[in-house]
Amino acid sequence: MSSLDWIVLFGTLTTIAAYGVYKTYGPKDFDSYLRGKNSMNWWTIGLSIMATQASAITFLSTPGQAYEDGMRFIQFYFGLPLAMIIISVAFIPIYYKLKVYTAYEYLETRFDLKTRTLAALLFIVQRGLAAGITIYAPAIILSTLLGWNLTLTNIVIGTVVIIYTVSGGTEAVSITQKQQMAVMMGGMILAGIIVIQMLPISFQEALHVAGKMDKLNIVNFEFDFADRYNVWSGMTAAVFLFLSYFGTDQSQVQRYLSGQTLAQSRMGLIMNGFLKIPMQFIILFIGVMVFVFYQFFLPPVVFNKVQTDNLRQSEYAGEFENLEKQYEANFESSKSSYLELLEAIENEDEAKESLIQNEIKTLKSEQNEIRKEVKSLIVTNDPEAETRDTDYVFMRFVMDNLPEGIIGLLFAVIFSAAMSSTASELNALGSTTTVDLYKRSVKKDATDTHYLLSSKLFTAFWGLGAILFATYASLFENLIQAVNLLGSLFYGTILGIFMVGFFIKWVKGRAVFIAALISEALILLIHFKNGEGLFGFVWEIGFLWYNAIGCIAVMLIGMFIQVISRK
Amino acid sequence: MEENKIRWKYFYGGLLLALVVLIALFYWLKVSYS
Repeated sequence: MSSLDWIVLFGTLTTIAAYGVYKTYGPKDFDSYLRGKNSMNWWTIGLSIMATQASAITFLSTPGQAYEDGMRFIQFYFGLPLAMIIISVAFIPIYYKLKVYTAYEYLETRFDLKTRTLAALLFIVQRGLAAGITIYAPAIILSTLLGWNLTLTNIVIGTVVIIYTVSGGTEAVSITQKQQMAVMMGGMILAGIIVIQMLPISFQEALHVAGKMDKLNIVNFEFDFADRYNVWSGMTAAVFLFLSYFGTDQSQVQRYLSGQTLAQSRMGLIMNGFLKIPMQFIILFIGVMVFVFYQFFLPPVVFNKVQTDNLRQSEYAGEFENLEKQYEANFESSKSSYLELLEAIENEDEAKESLIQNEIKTLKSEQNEIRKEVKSLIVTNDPEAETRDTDYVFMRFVMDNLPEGIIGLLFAVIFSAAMSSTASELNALGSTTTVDLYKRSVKKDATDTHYLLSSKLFTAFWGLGAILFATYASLFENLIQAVNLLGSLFYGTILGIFMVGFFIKWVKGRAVFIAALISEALILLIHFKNGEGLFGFVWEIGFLWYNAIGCIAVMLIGMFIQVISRK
Repeated sequence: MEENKIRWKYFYGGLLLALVVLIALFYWLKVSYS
């Protein structure tokens, strides 16, 4: 990277962090630290909610996913607007009425202390681990791209977040997220415009290339339990995930509890409902345009440059060079086929179109074979090497092709995303530990100043924990899935408890508590025996469905236990 | 922003309508360029 890029990157990050500290500096009480003085308007809340959900993984993995697999991932978000409406109607008014600091406080009012503590603990375990992954996942990619030490990258991301989150609390988190979101969206839109301008063909032709290569597979109306990316899974299973995440996960609940009024909070959620799918579309579409770009300009054989550089230095350099030559020849044939394809489309020669389309697909599978051979060479040379390179596609494209300054801005996008989601997580972990565990069950009648200090200390504690976890975590096969899976194991149960609370008034605390324990055991059993089965009964369920199963299980078992215990 | 002055059903209806329009647009994009 050039010095201009470094200036843009560090300038952006330090300005945002310093602004957050400066704007929220000064004396605070416990209430304003946790609820941000209830000063947030709807669009700050909306941006804050979006910035919390948009982690660095979103910007690193999603374009790469579109590059390889097309845009079908977007269907996962179709349930989000529905979830926003349900939360606006049923969840927020109750939180506001009870004036809670955390979502779990509600559970004590409705059920009992043990249900509240169970939900708070489940949140802490799951979010505590997720906070580590939120730092680690981008750090491993960024450290490779920038040539930094992994531990140092973890520490840089973690420390900056700890400074402004501990210092300014919820208000600092929301204020910085507003700026971070502007950087993220501005950077991505700019990258999108630049990549489209760099294409050697027209935009219309680019869409044809993408469509013919099945990259515009945005909607699929065929239902399939095993494939989660279809309209129906998005509209059903994903709704449960989003209800749980936005309605009961303190890292999101804390964002809209800082609203000036109930109406402002609702409006923030509705804004998220309107903007999330278009935002995700833009990110995926950029990935597709990068794909089109690389059909006309030679793409790297493997997108992780460090690994190909290592291979060049090794005894396998000769073999690698041969494979690279084959790869280049394949690329040249495929490029000229594309030009023929575009000509056929222009002449409306459908027979020729499908002939060339098949020809390109054969060339693509040959290309994939060469890539596989290179990857197996990488592993032969270094058995520890991770050969999945999807997450490197977008930033490698940025580093190789975008102008000076913009590269720094795009790195600022990734770092901002990592920081904004980590900040919400630490803020929520600090609040939940203080309000639901420490203040409620350990030290019940201390002063306001004492709890303010404890909140700060717990936030810092979780931040340091996340850095430590990030430093020692090993690479997960797919970053997005790892984080989502972690949520899915607990989310269904937590949502089930809240749903019983909101909608099935006659089920009491004891019944829902036992139902939650049984449901969690059921989910863990389903997960760990998935594909293997038990007592000859084999099942294969996608993790997205765990949320729905967990939630419905808590509701049904809860009702059953309540009915039985009455008799 | 006064809670009782806002007709939320229009916001919710608008949101659902936007979702349907988006899905229709996506479908059109997929079909037109495949």
